[in-house]
Amino acid sequence: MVEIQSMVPIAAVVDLVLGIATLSIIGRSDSQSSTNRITGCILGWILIFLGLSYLMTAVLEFRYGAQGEFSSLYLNKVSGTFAFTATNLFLSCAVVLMALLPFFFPFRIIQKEWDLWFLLSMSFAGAVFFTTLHLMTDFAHYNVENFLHIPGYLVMVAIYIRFVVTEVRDEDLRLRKISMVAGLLLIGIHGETMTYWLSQVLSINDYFFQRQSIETAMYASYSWWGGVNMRLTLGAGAILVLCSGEIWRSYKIGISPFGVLTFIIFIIGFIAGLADYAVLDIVRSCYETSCEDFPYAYSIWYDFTSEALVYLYTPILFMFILLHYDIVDTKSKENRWLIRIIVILMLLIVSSTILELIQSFLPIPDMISSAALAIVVGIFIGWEEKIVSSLIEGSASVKDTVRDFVAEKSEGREFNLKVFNVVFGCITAFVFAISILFTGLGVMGG
Amino acid sequence: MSEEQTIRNVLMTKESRIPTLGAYTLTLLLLVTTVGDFVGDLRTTAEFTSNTPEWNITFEIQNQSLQTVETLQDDETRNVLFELSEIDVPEGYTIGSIDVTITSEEDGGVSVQCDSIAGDIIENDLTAQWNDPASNLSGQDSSCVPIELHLRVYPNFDGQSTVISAVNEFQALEPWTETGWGVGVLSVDLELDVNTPLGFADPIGLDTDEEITVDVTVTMFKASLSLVE
Repeated sequence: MVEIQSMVPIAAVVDLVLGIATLSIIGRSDSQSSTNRITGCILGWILIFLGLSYLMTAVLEFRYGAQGEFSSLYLNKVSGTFAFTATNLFLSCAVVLMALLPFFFPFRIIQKEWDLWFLLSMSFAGAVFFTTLHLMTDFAHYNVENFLHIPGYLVMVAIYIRFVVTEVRDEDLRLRKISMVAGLLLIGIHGETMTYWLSQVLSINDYFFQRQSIETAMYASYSWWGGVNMRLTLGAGAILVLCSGEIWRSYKIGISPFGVLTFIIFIIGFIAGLADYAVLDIVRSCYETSCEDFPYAYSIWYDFTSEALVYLYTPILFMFILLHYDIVDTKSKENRWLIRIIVILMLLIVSSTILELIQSFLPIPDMISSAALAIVVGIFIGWEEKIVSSLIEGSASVKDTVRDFVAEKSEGREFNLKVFNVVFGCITAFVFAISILFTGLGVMGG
Repeated sequence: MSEEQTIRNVLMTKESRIPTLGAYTLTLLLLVTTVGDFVGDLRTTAEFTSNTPEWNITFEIQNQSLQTVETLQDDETRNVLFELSEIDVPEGYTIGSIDVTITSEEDGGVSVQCDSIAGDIIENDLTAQWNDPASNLSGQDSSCVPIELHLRVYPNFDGQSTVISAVNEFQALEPWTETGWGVGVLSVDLELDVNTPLGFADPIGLDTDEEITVDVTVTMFKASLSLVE
């Protein structure tokens, strides 16, 4: 048996590899529409920001050790360090981009010439504003950027319901692709908080954050808790909407793989809510007496559900969207080998991590787990072409799927990839520089 | 001839308007009901964390000893190693400090002139507070008095009870639950310089060596706490 290991370093590698590969393929997909290339760039940079943030968290974990569930860190120890500052600032940048993504994919909501400049200027202004705010207030208002998710949430929920309703009414099955991608993006952005939906409905999540505040010496401000509650509420709202929509669609048309995925997340959230309710005494112990540890089974549950969803499945979900919606040029031979490498790499990394996790609580000898991994590798190599082909061959862009919903002129607008990459490259350099500068000057954590 | 493209609304239709507004209302309702609990808990947490009580930290101490006797020749330097993994650290205890006592056979005797003995704890990979002012790593004596050396292993451990401010037991005990200290090998250098009685030469070589005893006492502790009323 091995001890449970943190998934953060794996997530860092997966996100960075996928993010860089996405930008590289987008750079060679000149034939794609400008909307597809913008979406690819946004997804690529979201993955890079998340990857850099996880990388910094992994550095902190190696140095100071993770505490409790979900890699929470004792702030008295890590506050003021370069890695702590950088991890939070990169996460803020990723949140800003995630909040802007629904305005460009699946449809360009702002039907104006200046929508791309809106994206770039908002990303830059958001990154600068939140970086300055967090550095000046020593992260007292961290998580306030979660409020930015509101417009994107409203857009995605509206698109999902609109296309499910029209699909069922007109029996127009091509519309399924749009409601599905809206749902997948909601899962990609709010996946973690979806698994806490019952706890949010029962209004017990606040006890968990109270415990975290006490245990990690985290300063609790109204904006911080407001941001956290907003994120939890949007996650709970999203899964309830998706589940209701999928139940109705399954009844009218029939069940689909996306429906199954939604029901699985719904059930995970239901079980997690019951588990959370069962451990409330332990959660409250920090406040009432002294902090008691969570049962081992409870920690394993969260490793396999919420944590795995955030760290492992979200990048795979983004990869699926990139390939299945033809955001990158999957037909080009030049790109195909790179796509094959990425697909196999992602699946193998995730499989080996899951095996390692299973090994952490089941007394499986190393010999058997190695054999299991070899079997998985064999299957992936044997079926590699089939897996990749099934992903790529069924792919079609939003424009090709629902031409009557896409404005030709917005698709034809010019898009300069270099400007995009320079802006986000500058943001990355800015975050690194300001983290080094502030921690070096001893401004942080004072 | 140019054809004007008709674009369908992507956000809402007549049929989807009511379910969409229903979804928004559900989300808003969820937000309103939970925000009250969050704000209430924020207040109690802020009150709780701002009111930091004082805790009296006391230490239960256990000692374990190691000993070796070495016979050194005049002007000889010898290194003695003590493997700390041989120490049986009880459950819940941590190594706090190491005391080394170096005694020569002439102690308490009637010798006219004592031999000169020097002892040093050698800094190595042993995880300890090597640069702590409380650590006394070198000693020398020629008056037949044992040499006492001290190495602080656990940060700030002196065996004395202490009072600290912390919001709860967990944080109060947190500084005393670190692991990884006291791992390695204790290395002690011994040096002998034989002194003949009244400074005269020793023509028949009666006093050319010395038996030196090195006692190592490893102090282990377990922290416990009580609330200061």
